[in-house]
Amino acid sequence: MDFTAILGAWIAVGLTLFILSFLYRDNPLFKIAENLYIGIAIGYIFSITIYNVWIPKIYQPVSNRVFTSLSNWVPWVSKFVTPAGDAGSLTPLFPAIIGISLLTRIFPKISWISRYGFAFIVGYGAGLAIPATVATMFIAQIEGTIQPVFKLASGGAIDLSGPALWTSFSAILLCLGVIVTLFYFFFSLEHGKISKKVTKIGIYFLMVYFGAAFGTTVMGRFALLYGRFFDLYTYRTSGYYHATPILILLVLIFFFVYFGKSRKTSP
Amino acid sequence: MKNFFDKLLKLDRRILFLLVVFVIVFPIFKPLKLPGIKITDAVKGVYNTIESLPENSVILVSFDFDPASKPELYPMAVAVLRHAFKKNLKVIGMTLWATGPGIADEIITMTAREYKKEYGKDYLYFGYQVGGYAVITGMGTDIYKIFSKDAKKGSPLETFPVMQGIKSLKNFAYVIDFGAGDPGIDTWIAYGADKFGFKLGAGCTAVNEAPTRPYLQTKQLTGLIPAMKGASEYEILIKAPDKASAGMDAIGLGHFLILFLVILANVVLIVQKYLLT
Amino acid sequence: MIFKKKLPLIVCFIVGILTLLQYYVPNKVSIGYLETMTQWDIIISAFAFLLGLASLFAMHYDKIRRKTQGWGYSLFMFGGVILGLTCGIISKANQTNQEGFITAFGWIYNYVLNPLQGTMFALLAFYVVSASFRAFRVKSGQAFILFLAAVIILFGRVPLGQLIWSKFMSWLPFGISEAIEWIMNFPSTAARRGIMIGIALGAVAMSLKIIFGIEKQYLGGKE
Repeated sequence: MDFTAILGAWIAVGLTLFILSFLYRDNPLFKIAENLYIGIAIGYIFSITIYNVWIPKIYQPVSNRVFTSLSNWVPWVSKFVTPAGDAGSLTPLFPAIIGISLLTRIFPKISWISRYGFAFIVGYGAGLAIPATVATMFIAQIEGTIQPVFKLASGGAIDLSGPALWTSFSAILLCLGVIVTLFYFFFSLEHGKISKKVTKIGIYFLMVYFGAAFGTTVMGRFALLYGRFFDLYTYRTSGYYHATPILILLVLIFFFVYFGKSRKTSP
Repeated sequence: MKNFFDKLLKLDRRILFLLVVFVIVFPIFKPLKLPGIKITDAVKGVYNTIESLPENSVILVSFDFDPASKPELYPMAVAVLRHAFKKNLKVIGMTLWATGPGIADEIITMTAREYKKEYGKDYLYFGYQVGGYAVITGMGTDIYKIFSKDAKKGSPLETFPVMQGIKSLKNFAYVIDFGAGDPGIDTWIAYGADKFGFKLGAGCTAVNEAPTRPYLQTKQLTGLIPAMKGASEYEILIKAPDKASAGMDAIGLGHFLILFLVILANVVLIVQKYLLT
Repeated sequence: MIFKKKLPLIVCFIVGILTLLQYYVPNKVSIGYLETMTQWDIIISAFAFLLGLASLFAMHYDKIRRKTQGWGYSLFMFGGVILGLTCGIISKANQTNQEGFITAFGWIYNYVLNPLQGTMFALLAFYVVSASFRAFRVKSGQAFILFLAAVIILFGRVPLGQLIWSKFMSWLPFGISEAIEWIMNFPSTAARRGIMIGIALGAVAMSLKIIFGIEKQYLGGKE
């Protein structure tokens, strides 16, 4: 096997164990891994942003424009630099300057400059969000709730077979469920005797939802753990020079020494 | 007796942790090889849509997740891409997550290689773009203004044959989002499918399954693959059992452990309350 | 005052209203406007993360400078950033090179970021088990419904549960898988939809407040 893959396996196993070690107790190995995680994630995102946004969206169009203009005015420039791609444009400079101005927020005296950038982002986001939210989370949902019931009411001959009745029941249940759940959320309304009962039914619907969500959440968490353990399992073989068993042993020895020592020193 | 029950309820959590390790590790070493699970309509929704597409249709796949939910979404993404390549569809990949490119690139490159597909002709990788809903909004009118170059070769998109006839999101025969959060499935529906009117399917994490379900009934999604369970169904549908099918064995024991513990704790409480007082 | 407060609010109002209107007036001008604004938003957002970065760096730098307890760990944070960034620059942020081989950047992703982030989130599995054992108490009718929905899903969504069901419960007219699909598609969806509609109303109200300058927390500061 390729050396980088073996080295990678050892590092991956080590870091996995460092983090799992937290289950016993907080310890230096976990803290190292935790800080490294934050650092690596930032370094990764930083690199991705440079090469996916800053260079193609700002640097390239602007530099292309600059070089093209330069070589028009001073012809010998084109002998040294040939602009890649199109003629470029200086427009990205404007949002880029607004973007950089966001950083003024760190300095209290000039932090007001950053407000323009935020005003733009927030205004654009809010303007986009209103129609999108209304269409997707409001109108479409109400439509989806009413349509099945409406279909029942407008359907010609009445079908009394088991499955048809069940479908009707489910459609009505869905519609009622949405209404009672919404009722529960009307905080501004003072609840009378009947509305209190309706609210209570709403809570039952919410409980089914939370129960279902709990069940699926458990499933998701186990899936994540399975993924990590499967990697440890893969790296246990001789091809990886038994990375998993050896590193488990080393972590255990560290624990024995570290916690043994701290037990002795603590009164 | 009372003492024993008290102790049981206050069991050191590290003992519970060891039980968790056991139920997950045991089936890895000794697979239970249980029969596959039942196929649900939600998963069939994605499968049937891909089945119905004519050869050479271009689909867009957005991998909006990162290592934090890899075991849940990776297997389904692989299964769906295998299905698409087997059907000779053309696939374009992208991601809205800054920590997603590693996985996105790996999945699309690996599955394309399995089916001997050619980069640029049969598949393409746009890469990552910051902005979430803004990216989708921009792609709705002009993809080339958002992704001017591909992420693998750095060449202008129009130079690739696979991009022929593709200008905006509407030109894709099908868009699939494997989403673990925000930006993700909700973003693709609200800022993409509902606005620009294209067919959208999705794969979600288990945590997001219940919240995403309403979109299925309204047909805002043609289908939904819920987490590892959905992935294992998809693997059965394409007759290629892989990681998800194996994982479901292990998760099964985990579920039974948690069921056992919750019921045990409640029974002990009832016994303490009614029988021991 | 005008430059510090009023003008940003006016910018927000104009951008917000125009972006909102373009949705309902689709023509060449409005599409052109949206495309430009989208480009701008992407470029500006690409700098926003630097802000978080700066405050995080300042915090860790301060820890190291003052040598507060555990300052050594902050070195690992900076080490991680340097490592990630160096590999990114060497590989030009490509996971694989032209020949299809993994680059240093891809290596860092697969063998460092992947296990770290994956395991961090996998830890939750342990805590979900221990929390369920300690806190999942069926003390009322409502809690029982929650418990019941959870039990059905935990039991019936895995091959083992479906096998047991088909062995012992096959006399019932429906399978466990159908029962779960029904729960997810009707009662659970009903509740979620209620929540969704509530969220939608809240989000629209919030967006309007932002556009009209009633909500101005994003301005930050006291002035």
